[in-house]
Amino acid sequence: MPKKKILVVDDEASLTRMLRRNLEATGKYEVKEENVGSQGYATAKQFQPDMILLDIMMPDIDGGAVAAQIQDDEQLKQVPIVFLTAIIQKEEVDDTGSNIGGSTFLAKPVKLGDLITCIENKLGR
Amino acid sequence: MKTLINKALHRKLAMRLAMVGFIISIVFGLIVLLIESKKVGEVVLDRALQAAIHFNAEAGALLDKPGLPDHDQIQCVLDTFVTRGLKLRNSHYNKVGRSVIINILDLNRNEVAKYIDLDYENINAFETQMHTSNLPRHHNNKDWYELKWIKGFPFVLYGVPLTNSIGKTVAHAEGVFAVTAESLTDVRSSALNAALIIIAIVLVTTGLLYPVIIKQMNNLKSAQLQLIHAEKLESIGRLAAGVAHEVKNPLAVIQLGIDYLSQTQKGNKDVTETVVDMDDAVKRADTVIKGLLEFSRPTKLEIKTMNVNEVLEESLLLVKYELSKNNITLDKQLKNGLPDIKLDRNKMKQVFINLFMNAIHAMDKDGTLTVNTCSNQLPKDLYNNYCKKVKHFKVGDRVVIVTIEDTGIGIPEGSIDKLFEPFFTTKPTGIGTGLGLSVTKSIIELHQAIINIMNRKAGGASVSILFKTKLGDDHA
Repeated sequence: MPKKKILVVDDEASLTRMLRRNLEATGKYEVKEENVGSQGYATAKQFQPDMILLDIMMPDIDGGAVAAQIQDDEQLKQVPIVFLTAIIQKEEVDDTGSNIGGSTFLAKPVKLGDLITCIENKLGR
Repeated sequence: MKTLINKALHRKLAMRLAMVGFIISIVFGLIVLLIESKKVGEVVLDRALQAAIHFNAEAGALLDKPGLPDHDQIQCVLDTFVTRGLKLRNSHYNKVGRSVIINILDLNRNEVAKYIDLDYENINAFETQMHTSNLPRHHNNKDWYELKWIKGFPFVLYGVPLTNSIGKTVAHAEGVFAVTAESLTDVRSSALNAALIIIAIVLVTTGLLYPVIIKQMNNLKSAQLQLIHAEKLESIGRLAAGVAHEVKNPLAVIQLGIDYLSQTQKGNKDVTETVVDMDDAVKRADTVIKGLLEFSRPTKLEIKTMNVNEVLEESLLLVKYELSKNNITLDKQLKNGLPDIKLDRNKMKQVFINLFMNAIHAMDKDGTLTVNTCSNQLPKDLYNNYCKKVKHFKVGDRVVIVTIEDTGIGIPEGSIDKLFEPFFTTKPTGIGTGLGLSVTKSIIELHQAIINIMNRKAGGASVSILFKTKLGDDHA
């Protein structure tokens, strides 16, 4: 079964590295890291992921702006985006992701099990 | 220690205020005396004028005879004038003064007669004063007077036209008039009385002002402390959002690292145990961040009218396990028929659970948790003790009171004032974040309620929350 491609966009390199390590250890995912927020759209266009994990508060660009660029692209607009962010609390969302205003959010710090459940829910749709 | 310092400060302030009041009153008194002393001359002049008018009337009658009498006759008349005049002045004008010199001059200013009181020394000095006086002298046939102080005593130089009974000026009298000691004393004593009255008024006012000033100073100090506290909390709030973001990212890295190790090192017991400890640590840190964010975020309440007993029952249910685990007896005294109040159910449950858990932690094992509710009209003593600084309450308001008491170790006296400060805790490290009561107080204040914590005389602590049964328009 081909691995699903996941793009992780977050300015925190150690976090993207951990995400890649954890997700790839499952054997189900191929993960690409992007640590420059403003490059997120270009990397997505080049990588053509099945799903994007996107941070919101980045130094050069807001995660929402990156999501808008991606959703404006005909080839990428169907790619599910999950915002993985520190600015909300676990209690405000479900452990496995909540839909707030049409977007899916996961609160940091996130457990691997919850992250994988969220990914599988999104990719399973 | 704080009381002693306050008392010492009050004493110091009282002394300073008394000193200032004393100095002000002395200064005012001296000013009054100075002003009044200047009036001596005016009073004497006025009395001298009255005496001279009367003297003049007498002299005029004696000068009705046709033609001026000769020198001896004038002298004789003058002697009579003086005698009668003195008697007149003494009897009518309360011993105002005494003639030292009287000169009678004819219309050509030739000296016709003279009276000298030989009891005065330095008569020449008086005559010199008369001649060196700068005031216009009978140029227009009018009286003139001038106050002179000679060797510290007031004298009046004067000149009066002498008119006969038909009002025709026939001669002039000029002289020196000594103010009697009695009249001087009279004027000076009234000045002294005025000065003493002013001194008394200033001192009494100072004494009356003292408690007012102390109260205003305390109010100002209290307002300053509240402002500093509010600024501190605002700074913490601003910091909280930034700190939360900066801490959550590293926590996320650690959490994923823990998950990775727990998956890949399953067979290694030490790694597994280490990973469990790390996982707990991450949860604790995340809880602190959660508390900080809650503290910093402006909270919008979802207010509904409900009975507070219901919320208490639901909250007690959630801590039931903790109560039984620690063998704590629950004494519920929830009054029936309480008036409904406007609450955010979830936020108040958070408050009650926080207070119950604090009580449970204070008691450790065994003990009694008492939860009491009642409704009263706010009495004056309760208002003065707890509600005076809060604008929402007034005496007579109907309030619902929730009291939560424990039989634990109580609160160290020095810590009671700090209980609601962020991160202040009396619990051991690792138990709680120190933000529970700060968040509790914020939620209570959003409900326009008041919370008070104190030690019970029988031991343990007591928390009282007063809710108004009717909220104002500005609740969140």
